Amino acid sequence: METLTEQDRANIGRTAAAPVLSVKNLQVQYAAESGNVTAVDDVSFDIGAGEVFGLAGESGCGKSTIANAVMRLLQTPAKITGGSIELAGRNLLDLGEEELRRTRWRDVAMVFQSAMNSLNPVMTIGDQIVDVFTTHERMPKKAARERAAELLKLVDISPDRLKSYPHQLSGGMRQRAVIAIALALKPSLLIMDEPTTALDVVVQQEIMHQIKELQQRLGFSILFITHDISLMVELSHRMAVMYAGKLVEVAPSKDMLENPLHPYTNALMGAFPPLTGPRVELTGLPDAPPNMAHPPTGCRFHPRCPLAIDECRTVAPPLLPKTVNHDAACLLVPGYVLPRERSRP
Amino acid sequence: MSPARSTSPGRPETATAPLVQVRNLSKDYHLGSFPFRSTVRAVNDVSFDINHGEIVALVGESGSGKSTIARILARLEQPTGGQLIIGGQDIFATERRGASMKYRSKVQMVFQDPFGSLNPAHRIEHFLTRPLQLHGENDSPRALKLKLRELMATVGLGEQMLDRYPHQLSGGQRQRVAIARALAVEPEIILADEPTSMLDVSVRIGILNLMRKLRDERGVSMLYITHDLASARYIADTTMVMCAGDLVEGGESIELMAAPHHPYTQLLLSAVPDARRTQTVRPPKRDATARNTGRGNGERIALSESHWALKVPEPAA
Repeated sequence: METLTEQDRANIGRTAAAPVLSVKNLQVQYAAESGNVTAVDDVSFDIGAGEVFGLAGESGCGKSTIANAVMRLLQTPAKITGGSIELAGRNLLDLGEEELRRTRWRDVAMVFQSAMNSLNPVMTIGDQIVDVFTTHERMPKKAARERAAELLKLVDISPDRLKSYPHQLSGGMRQRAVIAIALALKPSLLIMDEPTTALDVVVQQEIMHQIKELQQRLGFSILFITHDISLMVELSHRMAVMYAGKLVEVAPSKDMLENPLHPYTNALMGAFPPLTGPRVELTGLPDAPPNMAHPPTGCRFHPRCPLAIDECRTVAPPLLPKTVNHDAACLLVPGYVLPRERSRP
Repeated sequence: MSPARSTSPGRPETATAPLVQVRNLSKDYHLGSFPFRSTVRAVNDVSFDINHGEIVALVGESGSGKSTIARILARLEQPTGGQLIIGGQDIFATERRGASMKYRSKVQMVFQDPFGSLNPAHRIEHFLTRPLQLHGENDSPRALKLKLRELMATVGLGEQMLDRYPHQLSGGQRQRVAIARALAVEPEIILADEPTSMLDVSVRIGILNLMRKLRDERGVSMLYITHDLASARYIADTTMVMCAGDLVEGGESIELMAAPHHPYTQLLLSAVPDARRTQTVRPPKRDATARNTGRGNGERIALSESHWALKVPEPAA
């Protein structure tokens, strides 16, 4: 049984307090020669204050597209074609270029996949951090330098490193410097897109520990994207599993781990060999992620689903609450009842 | 390393002598030019065996020297010192520098990047026909077709894939083609350097299962190089841990991961993400562990019949 604190943690995103980020019915399309490809289809989720929300799924399922949509960084041929993204009550989709520029970094910051390579190689770390303060806060140089030193200390890097160039730091240090820069203006939401994929396990663990510590100390929310489910369960309070542009399951992380409802979640959980216990044969998934230009009809997972029944081919199951805090989109989940189809006049 | 272990059921009989014997292998890389020359010892006095039909995993972080060992075994690099004995033959002493056809038909490689290792201008059929023609007997077109079909079936791909180009295949399918290509010459050992790290999580297990199947059904030995300890535990009979050029611990995979002895192995294991752990553990600072403790005298402690670790030198007073 879950302890009360676990429950509280799980409830963070659902409390009456307004969420930090509220994504509603988001749809993103990529224009292609053969027609529009819907990469993100009717995705809705909230992230509460101080909540770490994970987004898991295979490559190409649309998770990075969501991150870029929240940052409003999508470029043609990608286009947000529906829904809303509210950050602290403001719809980001209504903002003009100038307002966006002010929102990015101050309210929402992002750490990219190979972030350690996103540092400018011909500028010292110090100058790059100072840049943030002088540009966004119009802070005098001297004060900015002091803030930069504090910021580096925050991520356990000695302030002498302000004078170092990126190539003089190790990969893990660079990644921490990038996280420091992202947190410079105390954003309420930090988006991390596979922040540790390029790093070794030991360094990854160091960084993850650091992020968790900072998050608890500073109280920002995190949208955490990764394909490593174990890592996600370790770090996040709540998580969503995404498949072919749609969310298929949303639940508190521990709940998702112990009681996955969707067959796809189950398959993802079963894709990681354990470090303890007997050696058991794992199955993984058949090797055929869907072509998003022609997504399968009905439930998009049905061609790879070991449990699919005839109805799965025709009925697209919406994401519905199964138990408190635990939503799933699958016809086979016990007790799953489709909302009655709207009667047409 | 370990004395000949009793064979587990389902695997072909183990011949008495190990298939591969690596003895005191070292590799130095020279950096820079005069007067700033320096030498990096990438592999330091490494010895291990690979038995017939055994999967041996070599784990460690980037830069630990594990890929260098694979490259030496593949004869893409010349070692600075030591012996490589395959099937009783001292390879570097008896064969001239570079690769011979005979060697290649015994030892094959599967690389990390299935996107880069297949020439985009050729159909899948080409990748499998070439090794068959180069290494095999002169097969009639009909016998060749039969062999191709069988190879594809072994790696779990349909025959219709033979007409496709690499870009029409997914990453997992491409890696299967790379494995089929290695299998075409019926090698005794496959060196697999991080074969799953560029694949999507959901299809990694499929490749690992295929490697297991090849060992069980064909008795192919494998050296599996990875930084993913869980996958090493999943498929490898024996796991060896490498740290900064040294082999620091080795043993039966499950036993080793249940009771890691060397501080570096403990560090690596503690860093693996574990969904069931409630609190992230902060790994101990590196200097406190093996990396900077300096090299011992290479003395090994036997922890059990199938598990040993390098003796950690006492910290200097």
